[in-house]
Amino acid sequence: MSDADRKLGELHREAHSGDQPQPFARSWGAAVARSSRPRRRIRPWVWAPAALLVAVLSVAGGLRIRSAQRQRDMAQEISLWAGRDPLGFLLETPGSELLQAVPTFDSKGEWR
Amino acid sequence: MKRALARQTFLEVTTLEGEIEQLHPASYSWALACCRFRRQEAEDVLQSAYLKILDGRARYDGRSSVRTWLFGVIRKTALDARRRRWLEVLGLGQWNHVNGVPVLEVVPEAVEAVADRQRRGRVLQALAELPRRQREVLDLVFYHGMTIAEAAEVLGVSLGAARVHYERGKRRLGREFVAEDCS
Repeated sequence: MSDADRKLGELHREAHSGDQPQPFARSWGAAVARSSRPRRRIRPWVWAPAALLVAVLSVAGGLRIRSAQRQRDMAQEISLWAGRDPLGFLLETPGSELLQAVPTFDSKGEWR
Repeated sequence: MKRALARQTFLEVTTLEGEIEQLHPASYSWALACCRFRRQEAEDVLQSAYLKILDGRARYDGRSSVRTWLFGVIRKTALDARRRRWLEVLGLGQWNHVNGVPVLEVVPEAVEAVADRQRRGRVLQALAELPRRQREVLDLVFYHGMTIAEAAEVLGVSLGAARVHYERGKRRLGREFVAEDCS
């Protein structure tokens, strides 16, 4: 046993030095008196609606969490599709819209 | 059937009563440690633990020593009492008072009672401020002279977990008291 352990032992003895329990007969007697008293029982009509309410609330909560998760997944998917390269603007050169646009020809065959 | 069970419980309790009586002072000290050294609460918890034994809600099955079993019952009763008190407090939507009566004491009663003995008050305060498991394992080892394995059994945790709580509690308490005395 180290000095620190001995010191901690002393501290605990000091902490408990004022412990003065009631006489055993008194504590035990009080417990005996309490045990002979009829115990209050919670009737099923009290706890059954409470249990039902808890069940309904937990199902509703579960569904809500699930739908929120689904929405989050969808939003993530959409954001992936809509994602743009942050440096993409470097590839945009003057006149690049000409390359992206589909040319049309009028009735005279002229390019617009 | 019910009568036979009651008779069996009665026989078991009568056999155990002597041992429980011998352990009464130690049980009270343990109840105090479980209740952060609040005397009134510890007495109520001890009485409720005895009631559990008398009712047959707590039964000794001989797998451990009577002391380990009894300490386990006391600890569980203290936890139930604390939980019930919290529920009462939350149910009424108040933190410190129920119908004007204080429910949660900020300062442990015992600390107030020994205000004149400052050092003991400091020790009690430091112990009361330790996390519950650390306080319990240290009390079982250093005051009740249990091994860490026995303490683990009382607390219902693995030996490894009890060792961790023991080391952390020792370090924390040692920082405050042992280092101070060495300097």
